[in-house]
Amino acid sequence: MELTVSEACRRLEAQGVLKRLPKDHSEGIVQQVRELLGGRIPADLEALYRERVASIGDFRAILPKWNANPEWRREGEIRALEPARAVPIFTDGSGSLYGLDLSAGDQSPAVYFFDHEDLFDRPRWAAGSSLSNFLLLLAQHDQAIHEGRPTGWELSIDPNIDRCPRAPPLWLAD
Amino acid sequence: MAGLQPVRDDARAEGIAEWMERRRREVAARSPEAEFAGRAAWADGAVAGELPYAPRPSDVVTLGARTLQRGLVLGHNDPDANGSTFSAMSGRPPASWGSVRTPVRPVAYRLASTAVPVAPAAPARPRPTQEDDMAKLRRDQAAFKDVVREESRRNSWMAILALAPIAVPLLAEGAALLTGRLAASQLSRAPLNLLGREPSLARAPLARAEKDVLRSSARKRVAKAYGESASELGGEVHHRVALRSAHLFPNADPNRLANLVPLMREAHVIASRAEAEFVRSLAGRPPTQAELMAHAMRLDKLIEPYVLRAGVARPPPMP
Repeated sequence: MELTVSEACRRLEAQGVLKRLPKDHSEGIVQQVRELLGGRIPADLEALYRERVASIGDFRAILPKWNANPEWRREGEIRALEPARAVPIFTDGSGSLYGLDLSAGDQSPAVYFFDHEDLFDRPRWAAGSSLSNFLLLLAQHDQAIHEGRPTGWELSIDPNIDRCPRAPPLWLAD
Repeated sequence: MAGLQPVRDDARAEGIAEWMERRRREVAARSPEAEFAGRAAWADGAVAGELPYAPRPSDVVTLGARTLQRGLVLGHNDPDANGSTFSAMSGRPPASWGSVRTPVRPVAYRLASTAVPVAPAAPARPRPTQEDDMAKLRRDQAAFKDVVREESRRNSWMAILALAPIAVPLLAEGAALLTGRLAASQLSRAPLNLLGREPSLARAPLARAEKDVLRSSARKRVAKAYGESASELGGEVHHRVALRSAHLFPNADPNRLANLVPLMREAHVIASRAEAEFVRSLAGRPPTQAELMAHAMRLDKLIEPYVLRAGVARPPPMP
């Protein structure tokens, strides 16, 4: 049974790694992103915005700057991955982006890592087979490196990470 | 002023009239002949080795006047009698003073008529010439050198004791230097190692997993160095020399602090685009270290206003 985005956020918040935005602009942000994406927004992405996630660990959430006045709204990085058919949801703190796949159609979209060295031209490795799994993996990313976990430790959290259609998992990436 | 001058003792003794008469004679005697005679007397004294006391020019005149006076008293005013050229002119002004007659050196005027006749000079020893002096000096110097050389030879054993404390470490260093040179010559025969200078010989590019670990480490390092994470500063960690080129610097840590810059997101995007443009300009060939550093420094100027620093107000948003 896979966790929902809301459940994953609550779990991470309980662990103290997730921070939320002080103000709830989720309704406006969802509306703004929907417009930017052409009228459709994945359910998981909408759920993420409604959770008002500001950051997970060192990884900052990418959100548009919403304002009641349309002229003051800023889309920010939301369309940075448009050529790669993805929408950025988190930055890795070093210039690269984690993006939610928009090419999955009605299926649960995967999350991929887009490297800034490649100008985000295509997904380089799979960061989570779903958004909820990705959030759990992201929360343990630095800790896993610090602990020196063996290759493929992600499978213990996200067993389907090596089945993402657009890119292999990190340990198989070139 | 003259009235204030004290009355001289001799004038007081002989009476003013006699004193004035004597002074008149003395002044009259201070003629050019007196000066000429004084010079002649001084020259004669110099030749005889008994210089008369005449430190001032006026003393020379006085000396000459006395000489003339003495000659007059003794009646030696006949030029034929004393044979002195000067005496021949005494008593009358020299008509040919310095005009017709060739000026002669004072030594030519020998006063045979002085009251104290000069003892006949011993046959003058020929004065040593300058060449003789130099030859003698050289002989002395040669002799002195011989003595010095002989003394040095005799005391040479002392140098061993004096130089021993210096010579021992010098010998040790010389041996080490010689060993080092021999080792270097051995090394120079080995194949030249261009690792790090020649891209083709450098390490392989970093894998995605390696880059991921390095980026995580870079965030931690910046947070430790700045006291705040780049995320808390509102930015991201930028590698001045990108991780894609880190393998071209095999001896350098990609996460050295000098290579890490907390940067605003917008500026980082620009830096990434400039990096991609740089890679495209290489047309597939690997860049050299110099090219990479030049590019990094060129980029530094672009992003400098947008570098985040702990405790410093953030720069204004990019236009």
